Amino acid sequence: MTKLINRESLDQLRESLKDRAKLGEKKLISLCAGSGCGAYGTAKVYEKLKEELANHGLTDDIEVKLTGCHGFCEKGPIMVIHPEGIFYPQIKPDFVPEIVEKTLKNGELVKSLIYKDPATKKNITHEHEIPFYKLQQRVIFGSNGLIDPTSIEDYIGAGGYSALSKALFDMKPKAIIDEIKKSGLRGRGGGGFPTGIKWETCARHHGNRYVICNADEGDPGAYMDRSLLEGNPHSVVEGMIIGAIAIGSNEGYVYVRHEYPLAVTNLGKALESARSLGILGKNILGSGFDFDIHISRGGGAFVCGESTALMASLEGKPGRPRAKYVHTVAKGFRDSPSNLNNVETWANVPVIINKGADWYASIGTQHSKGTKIFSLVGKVVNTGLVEVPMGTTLRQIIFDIGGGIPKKKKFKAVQTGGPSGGCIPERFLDLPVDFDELTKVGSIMGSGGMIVMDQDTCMVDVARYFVDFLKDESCGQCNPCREGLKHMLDILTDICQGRGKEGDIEILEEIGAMMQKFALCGLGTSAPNPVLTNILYFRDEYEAHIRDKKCPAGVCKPLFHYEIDPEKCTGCTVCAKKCPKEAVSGEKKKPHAIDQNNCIKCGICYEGCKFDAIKIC
Amino acid sequence: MENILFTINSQKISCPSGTTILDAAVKNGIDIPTLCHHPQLKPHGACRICLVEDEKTKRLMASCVTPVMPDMAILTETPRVLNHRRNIVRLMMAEHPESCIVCGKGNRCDLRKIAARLGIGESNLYPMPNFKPYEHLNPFIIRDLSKCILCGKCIRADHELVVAGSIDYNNRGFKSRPATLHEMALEDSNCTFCGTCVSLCPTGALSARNTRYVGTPEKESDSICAFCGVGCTLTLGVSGNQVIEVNPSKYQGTVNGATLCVRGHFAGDFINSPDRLTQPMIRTKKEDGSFAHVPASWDAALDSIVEKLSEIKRQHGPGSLAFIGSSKCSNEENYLFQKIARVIFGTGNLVNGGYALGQQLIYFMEHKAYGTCRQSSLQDLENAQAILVVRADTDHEAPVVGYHIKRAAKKGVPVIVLDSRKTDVVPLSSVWLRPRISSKLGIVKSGVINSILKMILESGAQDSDFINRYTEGIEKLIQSMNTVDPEKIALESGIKPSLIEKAFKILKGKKIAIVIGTDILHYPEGPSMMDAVFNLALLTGSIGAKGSGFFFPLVKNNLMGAMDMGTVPDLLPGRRPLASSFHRETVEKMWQVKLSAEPGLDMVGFIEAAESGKVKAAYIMGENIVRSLPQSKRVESALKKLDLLIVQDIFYDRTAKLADVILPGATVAEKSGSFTNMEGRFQTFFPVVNPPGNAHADWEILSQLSKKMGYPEQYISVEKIRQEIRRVIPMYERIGNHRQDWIKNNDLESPFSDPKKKFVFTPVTFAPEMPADSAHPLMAVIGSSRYHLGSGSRTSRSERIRAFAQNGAIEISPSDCVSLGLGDCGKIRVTSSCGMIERQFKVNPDLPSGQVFIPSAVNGNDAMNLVDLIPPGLSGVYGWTVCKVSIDKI
Repeated sequence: MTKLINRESLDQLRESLKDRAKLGEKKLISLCAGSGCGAYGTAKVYEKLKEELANHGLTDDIEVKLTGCHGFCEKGPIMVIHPEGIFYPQIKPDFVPEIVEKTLKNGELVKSLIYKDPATKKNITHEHEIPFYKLQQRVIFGSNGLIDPTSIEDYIGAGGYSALSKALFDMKPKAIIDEIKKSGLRGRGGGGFPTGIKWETCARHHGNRYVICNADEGDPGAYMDRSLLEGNPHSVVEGMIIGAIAIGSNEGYVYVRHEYPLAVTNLGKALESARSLGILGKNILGSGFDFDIHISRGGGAFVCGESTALMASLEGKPGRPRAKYVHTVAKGFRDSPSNLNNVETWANVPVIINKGADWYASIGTQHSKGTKIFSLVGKVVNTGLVEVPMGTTLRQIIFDIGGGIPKKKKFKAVQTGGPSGGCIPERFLDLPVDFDELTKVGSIMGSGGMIVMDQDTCMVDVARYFVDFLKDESCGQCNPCREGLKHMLDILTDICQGRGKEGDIEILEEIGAMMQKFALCGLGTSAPNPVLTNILYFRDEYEAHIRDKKCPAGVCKPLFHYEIDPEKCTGCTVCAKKCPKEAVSGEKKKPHAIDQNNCIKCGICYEGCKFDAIKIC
Repeated sequence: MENILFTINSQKISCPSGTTILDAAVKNGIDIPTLCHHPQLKPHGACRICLVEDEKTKRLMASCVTPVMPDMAILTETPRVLNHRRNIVRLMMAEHPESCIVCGKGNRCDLRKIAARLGIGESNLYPMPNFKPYEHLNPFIIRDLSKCILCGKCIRADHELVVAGSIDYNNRGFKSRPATLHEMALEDSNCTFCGTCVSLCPTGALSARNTRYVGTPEKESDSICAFCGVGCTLTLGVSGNQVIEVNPSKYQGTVNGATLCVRGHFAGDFINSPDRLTQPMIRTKKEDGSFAHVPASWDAALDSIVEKLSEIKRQHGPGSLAFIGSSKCSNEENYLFQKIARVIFGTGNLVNGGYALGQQLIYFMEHKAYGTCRQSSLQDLENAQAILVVRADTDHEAPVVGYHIKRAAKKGVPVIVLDSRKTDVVPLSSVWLRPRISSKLGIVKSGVINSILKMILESGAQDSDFINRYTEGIEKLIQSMNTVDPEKIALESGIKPSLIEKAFKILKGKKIAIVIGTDILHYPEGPSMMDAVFNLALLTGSIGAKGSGFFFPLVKNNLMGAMDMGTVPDLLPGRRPLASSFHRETVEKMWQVKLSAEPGLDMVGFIEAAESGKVKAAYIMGENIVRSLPQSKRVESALKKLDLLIVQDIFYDRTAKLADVILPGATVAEKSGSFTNMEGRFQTFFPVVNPPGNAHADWEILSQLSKKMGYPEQYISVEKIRQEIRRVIPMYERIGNHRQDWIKNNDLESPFSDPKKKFVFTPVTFAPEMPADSAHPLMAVIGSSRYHLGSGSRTSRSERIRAFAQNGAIEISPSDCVSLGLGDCGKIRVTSSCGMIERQFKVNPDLPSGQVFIPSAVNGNDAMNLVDLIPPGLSGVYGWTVCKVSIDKI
């Protein structure tokens, strides 16, 4: 690739790419190769597709793109045929010949493969009509489905690096910072600190300034940063370069989890191609500005997502946070001013520079601007990544986009913000989701995890699960976190196993309150959130465990048993056949019964009964 | 720096910006509890006990790490703070074993103190014991990590203070614990058992091991460590009349701060040894004709000394008497001792045990530098521009010096090591110049320095201003540079020219702190080495500036003081040359006696004179010369020839066993006095326990003796002696009013104050090439290990040190093991031209081939039988720590 020596050469390149796209007037098949779809078998579909196209002599007319994550992971692997936007979910290699034959050659739909909306049972042909997508506003995530993440041309062709041109040649660093400040962008990593102010403070400190991208996404079930890095790495790179211009930095780092191999690969390729085009490295686009980015791979410690621990790890030391009496913007990585933002924050930057702060600030709520990507998982029909404007209600996200709870079960709670977020009950479903509203109900925005729980979820057990996770991830330096989590875990385990005592809830509250105020880092201060909100909203469940020795949700095995309701049981024998311990007996067409001594409470009968005859007692 | 105004508990406070809230509170007498903070460690903020609240913002912050801000209104004990603080302590107690009643930390446990202060009797939480194996196999440290509260002090001390890197956090979360690499036992790790962690541990997680139950100290008193020349300040814990515990003193501004070494921390139990002398004894003929030491009264013992010494002096003249002073006894004792010798008995035959251990080196440098380098604060090493370590195994000889160098290196001060052995400083050094073992010893080490001198001169990097103002003779040095052939030196030393060049580039333009091991005296090239190093100091202007000059890691606690007091053959008190009539007259006037200009006998001369019968009587104070000098049998038979041998010491050891009169002295913990450490720091100490039995402080014995000799009674107290020292020795004129003082530089006649005086460059000299010795092809270095000191008289009487299975294995390089067919362990015989020893050996991969290391002090210090009893410090001869040997497997 020839180096771009000025902004004009970048513009020319972009024009030529647009022309090329137009010239071909080709059909484009976008095949999701994100980690989710990849696991479902995108690679095999791709092979088959290539083969079929070759067989039909269509290779030159139809372009196939392996793109990043489309977000609708529930339905992978996903294939979208452009320009029409025909959406084929859950494609298997066997389906490919039919698609090629019918849709690509003859322009017919393959009816059997079309997406069926589970709510309305209607077939929906086009991607943009599917409720999951229709209700989203995909400002940051939208390009994921259109571009090949390993191709810088794709990114440039789609308008990429135009914000960089603007920042480099039309704006002074201060103007960039002002624009970001005006946009109201707040850190997407969890803290929600105003990004512009962070940049401004960092730029004020003298020394070798660093910009760092936090891609140490460690929340169980959250993968928006991963999908961004995998699917659109250049948007992050562009954001970081703009940040570097604004702050006055010549060196950047991306701290990314080693467990994200595709993200590491795609980012590495992006950096390499940007370097060879002269967009990264010395004298970027002939502007005289130097900036380069290095990749540093993390070893998987959750606490390394904390800024000071991340920087310690970046320096090659054990990832342990330090007391932040001096902020990292003043003294961070290598004791120099360091500006750390997470992947999504960086990806927001080019959008703001391109479309302007006013446009950006028009999206969202009063104090939380723009959109936010959520990782919608758990007991929800449409698992996937969802990008909505700040202020969208939980109900809209979970029910309208997410399609509600599977198997018509009842919604119980949603945990936002990863393992240290709070569990929000049903009565707050109409809460507009933004930084401040979530804080008000005792939870956090976090990096955007959203775990939906249904009636079969035991809230005590959920709290126990997250505390167990955090106990292992606590670095162990400070006493409140190290001992507090262990003590909470001991108590929660006791409660779940029927050994709970009066007063335990109060101890949990007391230790939790202490940790929130006294722990050393963000991990410790937010760690009690799931327990405390849980107690706040589901105290009755705790009391049922402790006083009645009952687990109402039927999760804590010592605290419930299954019984068959003879009124409802039809004697279909399904449960008896499925029981691995042969604990269910009964004659055909007569009510069955469970031998409690033999039952191991695996729940298979409960899940399998079509007549709701099996009860949790 | 601007001051910041704010309040703590409504008390108005002003302090410099950057001060933490905790420091400001401590300075203003406000107590904030904390478990992880220590003034000498970087703030950590882990225990979270010290959180305080800002009344205005309602923010809670850890006071140990938060810098003060203007207008803060800090409250240290709001209900919220107290409540949470209690909850943290409750959690710690829930994790802590309920073993207070049998815990050695007892009432001194910080956790217990804070719990009591917060009114917590029981945690009222569920117990969550964190059982860890109880580690107690080494004789020094017991680790009971079930009691660990993760304050991190041990880890931080290990990293920040002693820079050993033996321990770090292991695991995460609740499992997190301080541990060695791979959780090895301490004795298998690179732990040096300095015990710094033990002293800092707030709970009973780390404690000093005692071989039997000794209880907890009833009181604690400060003292000075009397092992090496660093002179660490100690706090001795006493129960009854026994010192049962040693810790670094909490006193600020000490040389050691919060650190100690294994000897200082754990070897102090020698003072309770059953070998202690507890009463005066006189060698008496028994009925069966044999001789035995029979207890006597002090009067009887002293009377017999007075009588016999006077008689011998009368018969044979003062030259027939010899006085061996002590580099371990106090300044006051040495002063009195030499005065008794010089004034009462009129003899100049005075020497002390530091004779071969650096006194000549110090005298050489001191003399050439006109006394301008007497003060060399180790603290300044951390601010040095560059440090050059020449043949000094600081981590074994004087560990605290090693800590200072390593701390400096960690802080970024470039350190260059010139040593064939891989010392503990090497891994942290910028350049390691490692000469190989060569027969051309004469050029190897001094040659490397001379190469650097040549590079400095050729590149014009010398400090011309300094040279022009204060020195002379540079032309002669430049002229003699023709004889320096860097290529040949690089070839012969085996050091790559690029490394020497790198060292030059680091040193050029910098003022250098030069750390010289006293061992170099014993190399055939010692004198040329000293010349080269001194030339380097002059060329770079490294004399007189802070953080530069010479540092001598001495292995004797009061070697400096004994020299200053004049317990040496050729120097009068105050290091006045005896040969100078001006100085002699000055002292004569003060003492009102006539002094002979003839220098007395040195140590070797004394032994020879005893053998020849020239010396008839000797008074040895605090030196076990049979054990410490080469060729113990020869020394023994020389001492047997004496008509009268008086030994004043603490142990019934080989020297004392030969004595006609034995006077039991006292250890540092049992008497008053002062030492002068290697830095020129004058430190006083006071009795902490009583001497055992009927033993007396050494100064008291000397005072009694002088009284009995009819000398007017004027030395009734240490202070009386000190008064005279202040008067007689100008360097010491201001000492003794404080616990610590600095003696003055003896620089009134130096080029800095007298423009007529100049520092003189010495032309390059080469030691003669040593003749090949095919019978003894290996080079043996005899040196101390960190567990023993000197000849080991004291350290080998420490139960803990003895229990550490020190067989004194001889260290051999892997290639020599192969070429000698030794295998990897077993017993060997080491033979030199003077003697032979037999010991176990072990392979040391860090040794260069051709070199063996023989630890001294073990097996009765038998290693000294390998070397010859000749005066060390001469060009072209092997001294007392280096010799050529051959090795056979047995």
